[in-house]
Amino acid sequence: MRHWGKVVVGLSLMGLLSGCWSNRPVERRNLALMLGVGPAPHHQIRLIFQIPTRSGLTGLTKGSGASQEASFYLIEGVGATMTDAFAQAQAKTTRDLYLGQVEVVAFSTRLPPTAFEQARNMFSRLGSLDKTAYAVATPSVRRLLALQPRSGELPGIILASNFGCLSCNVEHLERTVWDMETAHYNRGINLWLPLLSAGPHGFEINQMAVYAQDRPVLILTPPETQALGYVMGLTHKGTLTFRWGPHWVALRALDARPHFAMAWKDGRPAIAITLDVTGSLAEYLRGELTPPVLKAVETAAEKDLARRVTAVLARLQQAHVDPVGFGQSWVWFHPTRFARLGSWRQAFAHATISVQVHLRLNDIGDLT
Amino acid sequence: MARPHRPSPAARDVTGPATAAVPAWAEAAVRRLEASEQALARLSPVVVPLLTEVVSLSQRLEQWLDALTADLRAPQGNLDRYGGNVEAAHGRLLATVGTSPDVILRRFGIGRTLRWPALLAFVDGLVDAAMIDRDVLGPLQSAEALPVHDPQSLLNAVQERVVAVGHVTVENVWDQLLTKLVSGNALLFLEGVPEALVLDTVKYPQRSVGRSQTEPSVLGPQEAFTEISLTQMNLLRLRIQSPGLRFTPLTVGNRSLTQVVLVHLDDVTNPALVSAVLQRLRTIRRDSVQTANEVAEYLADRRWTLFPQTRQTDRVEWVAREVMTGKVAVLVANDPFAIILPNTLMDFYRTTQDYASSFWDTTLTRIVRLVALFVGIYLMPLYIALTSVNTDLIPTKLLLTIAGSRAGIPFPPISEVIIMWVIIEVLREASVRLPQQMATTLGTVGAVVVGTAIVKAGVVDDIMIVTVTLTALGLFTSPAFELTSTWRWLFWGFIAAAYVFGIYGIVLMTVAVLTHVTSLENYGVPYFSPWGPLRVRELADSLVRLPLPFLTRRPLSLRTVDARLSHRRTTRQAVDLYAGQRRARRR
Repeated sequence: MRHWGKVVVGLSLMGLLSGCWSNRPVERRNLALMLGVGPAPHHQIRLIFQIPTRSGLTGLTKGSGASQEASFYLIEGVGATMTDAFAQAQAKTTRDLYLGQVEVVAFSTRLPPTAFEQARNMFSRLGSLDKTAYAVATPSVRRLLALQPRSGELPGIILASNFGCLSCNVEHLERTVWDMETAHYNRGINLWLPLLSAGPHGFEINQMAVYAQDRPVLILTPPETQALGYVMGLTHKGTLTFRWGPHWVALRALDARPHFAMAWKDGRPAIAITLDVTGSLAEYLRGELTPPVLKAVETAAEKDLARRVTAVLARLQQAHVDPVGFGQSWVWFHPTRFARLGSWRQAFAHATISVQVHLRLNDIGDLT
Repeated sequence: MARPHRPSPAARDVTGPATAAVPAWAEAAVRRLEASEQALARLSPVVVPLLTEVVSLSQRLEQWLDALTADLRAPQGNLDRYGGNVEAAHGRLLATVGTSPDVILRRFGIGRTLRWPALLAFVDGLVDAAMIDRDVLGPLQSAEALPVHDPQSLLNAVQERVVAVGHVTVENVWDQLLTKLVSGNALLFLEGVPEALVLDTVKYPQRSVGRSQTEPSVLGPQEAFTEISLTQMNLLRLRIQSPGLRFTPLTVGNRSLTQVVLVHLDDVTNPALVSAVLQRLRTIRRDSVQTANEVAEYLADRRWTLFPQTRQTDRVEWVAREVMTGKVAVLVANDPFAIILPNTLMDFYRTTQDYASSFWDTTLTRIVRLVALFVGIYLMPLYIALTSVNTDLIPTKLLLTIAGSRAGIPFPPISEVIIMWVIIEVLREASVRLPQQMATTLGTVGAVVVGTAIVKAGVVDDIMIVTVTLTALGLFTSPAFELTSTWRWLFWGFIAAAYVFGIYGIVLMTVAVLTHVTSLENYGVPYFSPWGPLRVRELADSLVRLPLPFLTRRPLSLRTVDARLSHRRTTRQAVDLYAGQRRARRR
């Protein structure tokens, strides 16, 4: 009898500890694939959930492409707080709004810092939200979430595939909710998010939004993003086109391995950046390509690339933001000096940055 | 309803005009006759056959008593022993087993001229009829110069000179005689000789040695046991021609008197194991033992566990291999399946083909079996857990695929599993019971019903069909039949745990099963060996199989007398061998 008592107590404990009875089949949940956070009138927050429709799901199952029906629909909720907005959105549907499969969380670049802070705070505490969901910034949340790709596929799936693929883009601009957390609690780095916009031909991801104090302070152009990508190790299929005399020279498939050297000189940080770049010569119409000429092309390309990288870093210094994480490296190597710095952003703004590029052309033949 | 009284003709004759001259005894007789007639008239038709039966039984009782009386009147009169009276023996046999049509009692005279009374008893069908005619009756009837003056001399003469049967014994205890008779021996009773000759004329009806239907193998020997114990022993003796091979016969079943033979290698098997198994066999108290499993269930250490502890196989070479390993086998008459014990869990995943094909092939097959087992046990519970409880753990695209597949399905996943599994089990059971041709048709119908119709009807989704199919295939890849039901039971445990607790439940259930398996012991052999306790050397023949030259030792847990499977020559043996070869070359 005592034996059975132990069994019953054990089973009861297991039941209590397991968090069980959350049994709800997948078809009884509203699976939100994309989640957008944008501003609403009267300083409110707008939450937009993108939910796949039945035709969107079955289209995925059957492997068919675009269908006549929309593959998703949106549920919106507006409230003074994130909780209110969520509750309002939940009230518009009879099924459980499930965030465990959110693939992309989009933050409007027009979101007030307080709202951004609220959203970031809530997402960090929301147990059901997967912290590996991709985080992006976007000029218009509603427009982004309403964009139906021409392929008919679900946008969340397309974006997840895009961000999850290292070699699918020129720059691998992948950020997750978890990265937002680490950037927030780390003094030596500024948050950056890929700027995702809804273009006429679909999604456009070739820009970077750099945040400071919960607001985007700098939005880099596509060439700037690519140049900064070399320093951050994000650019893997870069291109470089420059004028060499009367002709254009184009390099492609550029891949860089960055190295930093940090020092304290003349009362300010000195950052030496070395980029080992490899690539292939795509266009050269000047004449015969001999080894000396090739070396000259490499030298010219090194100078041009160093100039571009220096320019974008200078812009970052002007904006007092360090998305690369030089400060983080500084913390690791000089923790006491970093503690005495006060504000890394100020120190970074006055840092001496030198960029040295070593470029080697691996391929000058057929384009691959 | 009483019939009207009608005087019988006899009564009318007696009570006619000459009534005055009728004596008193005649009148009394008449009255008794009338009373009898009235009593008979009152008998219902049901009672008459009963009376006939009573009369018949009375006659048999009379025969039985006559036989007993004859045995009692013998010089050493004893009811339990044959006393030397052939007629009494005939009566006793007739009263005991003689009513059966297959029991032949033949009274005849011994000797061409002597015609000495004798009785031959045998069971038709269990004896070799040609042997009876040629080697027993013929020589007995044509024998001459038999010493009838002394019973013992007559017995000796018949046993040594006349009867041409290989194995002849002498017996006089009736219980033993009757047992020998019904087991196929012929009994020869001689008048005046207080002992009977038991002639081994056994020739059981049996099928030829065929292929194993339950454990087919592409390579290796194909022979399977038959139901006859002697054949079973012969087949084993052919494969183990070692003088150390021992067959220990026992009889189990108080009424079926089934012969059970314990097989072991005297110079290899742990004697404690042999004695323990013998002891268990002797504890079997059943009226009838018809199958090997009825014996096996008495041999298990833990009777309530789901995991089988004895393995049953009809493959001769597998029994031989296991006996050579140091295990014991139990052969049960009338069942072609031999019981092997003790076993570990891994033993149920070894087959003949593992050793008949290359170690690469074996290793791959065993890995496939393990993967199939995991698929069979975990796939469906994971499906339940990931689609109902832990939906955040499944890749999005897969979850959406599942959600799309389940759109419009009226049942939750757990109900689908129950529906599908019931269908699978019904189809399985039906296909087992039906003849082969019908089973094929049933399989086709089942595939159409399960695979197509039920999906089109919207009762079950596509992915569930895939999952159920893989699960069913996985659970049935176990090479030993005994394990299939184990995993099927555990499967439902996992399903329940997954439904209630999700992944957490599956982990808990796994821990529980592992704990139970590691706690099991079978005649002192850890059931989870060689993984628990870890025996590194024995891992060479577990999930992977190394080439046979590397498998040099018997399992440590069997505690065999001889631990080595392959013996290297000692230095002395090598020197002797070399010297012998040199001498041969010189010659």
